Amino acid sequence: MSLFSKAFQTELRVVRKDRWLFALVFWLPPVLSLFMLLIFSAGQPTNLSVGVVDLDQSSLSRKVERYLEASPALNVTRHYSSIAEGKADISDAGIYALVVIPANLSRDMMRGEAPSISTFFNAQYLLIAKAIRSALIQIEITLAVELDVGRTLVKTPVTKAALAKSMPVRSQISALYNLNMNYATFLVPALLAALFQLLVICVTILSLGRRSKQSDSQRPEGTGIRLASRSFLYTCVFSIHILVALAFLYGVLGWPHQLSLGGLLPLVILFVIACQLLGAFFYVLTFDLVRSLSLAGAFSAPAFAFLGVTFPASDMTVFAQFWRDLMPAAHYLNGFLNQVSYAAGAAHSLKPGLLMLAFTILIPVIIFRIKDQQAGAE
Amino acid sequence: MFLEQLKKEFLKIFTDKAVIITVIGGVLFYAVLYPQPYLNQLPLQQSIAVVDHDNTPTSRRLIRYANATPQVHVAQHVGSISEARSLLLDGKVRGMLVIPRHFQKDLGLSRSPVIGLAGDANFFLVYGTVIEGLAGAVMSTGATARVRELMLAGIPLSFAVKDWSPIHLNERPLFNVGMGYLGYVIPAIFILILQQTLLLASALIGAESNEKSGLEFRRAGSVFGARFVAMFVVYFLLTQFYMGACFSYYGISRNAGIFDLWMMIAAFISASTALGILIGLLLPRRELAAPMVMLSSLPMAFTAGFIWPRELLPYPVLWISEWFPSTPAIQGFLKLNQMGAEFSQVLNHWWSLWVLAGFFSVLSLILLTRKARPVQITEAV
Repeated sequence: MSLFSKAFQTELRVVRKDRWLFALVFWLPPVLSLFMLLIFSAGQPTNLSVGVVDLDQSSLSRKVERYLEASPALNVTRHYSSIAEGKADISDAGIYALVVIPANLSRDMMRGEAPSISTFFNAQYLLIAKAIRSALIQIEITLAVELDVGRTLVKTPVTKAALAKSMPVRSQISALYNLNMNYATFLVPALLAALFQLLVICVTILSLGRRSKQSDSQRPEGTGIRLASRSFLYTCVFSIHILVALAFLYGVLGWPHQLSLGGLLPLVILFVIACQLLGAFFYVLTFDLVRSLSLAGAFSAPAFAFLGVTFPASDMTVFAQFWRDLMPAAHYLNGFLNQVSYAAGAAHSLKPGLLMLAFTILIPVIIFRIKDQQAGAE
Repeated sequence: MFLEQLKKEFLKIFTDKAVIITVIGGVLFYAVLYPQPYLNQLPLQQSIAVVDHDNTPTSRRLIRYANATPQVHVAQHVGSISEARSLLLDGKVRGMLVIPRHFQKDLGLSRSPVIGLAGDANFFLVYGTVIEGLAGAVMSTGATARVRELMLAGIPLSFAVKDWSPIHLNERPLFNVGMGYLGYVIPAIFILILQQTLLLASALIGAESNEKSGLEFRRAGSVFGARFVAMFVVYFLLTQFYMGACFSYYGISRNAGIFDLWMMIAAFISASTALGILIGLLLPRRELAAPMVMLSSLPMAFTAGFIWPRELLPYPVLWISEWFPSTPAIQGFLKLNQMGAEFSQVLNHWWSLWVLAGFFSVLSLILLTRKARPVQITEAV
């Protein structure tokens, strides 16, 4: 026990003396988490710039424009007299979409010829494009119903019946588990998982490499305990970082959740330990600080793409799914999402937990490599 | 003197293991790895569960329509919503379609029955796909009913088909026409990969010199110039490789003229190289380079404007993001190469890159001269 607490305290002293390690362990995690959260503080894409080419200039075309203005996602910022002018502005992202109201819109409408309004939108920015498209579909439906009800009211002078005629079937769409379609609640948990995976792996390597650089305790006996006790500091600190971040998001900001500390705690601790084991593994591969950090960076820097929140994991290639399974963050996020939104029982978090526990198979490899290296050094 | 220094800097890139792994290994590795998740472009055929309380020809037609869309695939028929929910929880299905009792009858009586559609909004892309498919199927069912009604009222079929809705909205996606994921992520993220490996490599080289004695810093200008030129040449070529061979392999559009592209690349590489040299001078130890550079990747990617609109960033975030060369570079390259903008339309980004390049160069030179000073004094003594 004394060996344990001694090693723990030595490690704490090392961290406090090294300005850069101190930053990575203590203040960069919350600062980076906050930065990522601030990016999505708007929650949903709103007021996206849209241009209008009104070739009809009728009361109907002005009504279309009012509908565009009324949509929270859109904001009509520019008017053009020709399509070419508007398209140039799409190319330099001055506007995200261009709505073209054709000449004779009003006349065709009266004649029952079902005129069409064309919308060009910038699909390069995919997320923005999707937001614009769904806003436009909403507008189309509302507009169609309103115009149609107007038409049928002449024949069937009962509003409800006219409404039914213009919308034979209605749909009620429910966005399960993320009711207000907020991008922050959707992206930030995954970003934090990717960020902390990278942080924990890097810090583990730095701490291991730094201690062996000083080569003060190269005695082989008690290596395992010393390693464990030194690592225990980081397990605690990073688990607390994650829990505080989550407490801020779901407690202070009041994001909807079904979490319980009892379910969350083992998940977070397992996640941190799995990352530490992975970091130690990268270190013992080379025993070279710079190279093992490059390896670890190459592995974990693109983690977010593989987590499967933006592009679903089930639609990834087999190789990408395999690569994803090597990441503790992927399993942690699975377990976390089960808990946060589905109020799933312990059984549903068991599998991710076990998968993260599987990283313990690295322990013998790490110990063996370290012993091997110590024997070589003597 | 300068040529000698230049040779030294080139040698550093190609003989330092960590640097060459980062520059050549990193760039090649990511060219293969990063597109992996997105190779299938679009999530299609998402599994859904159907709860059919009506069980009539019309309700079955709606299910057939749903199954016929490329977006969804009817995986299970279940008797109740709670069953569908538990399937959703297990990840067996991603959404559900609920058809109410008396659906056919209500439709016939023009009572506009309500169809329930639901998707797991924890995964936005999947959710959007499921709802798009299901809403399309519901719309078609409605349209069929409407056309039949109009025909019963004596309107000829050709008219009825056109007239079922009084107005249409034609959507035309531009640039990334298929709205696929590869064409969205790769052109932007590859620029970030170039910048990050470049920053890491020059930080590694710079920090290496910091760990050694100050002897190297006698001629600040020549050290800076040589390091700059060496990195610039290597990365100018690597950028060509990414934007040429790689883009063409992944089928990503390349609309920019070669001279416009070169102008932009020159500005981008200059700003990144200068920043890399500066970071190298600031880091006391080599091993800090990788964590610091890698940690900045996520903030850089998400503030560059290709994922989240920059207009919506809070001011402090916006301000910080303007110091990353990747921010103007990604916008400039996307506009030139993907969106077919003229060079005059990206001049502001081009100038921002040069301003950053100048600023970081001046700072690096000041730091280099400071480091050089004590050495000169000892020599004078």
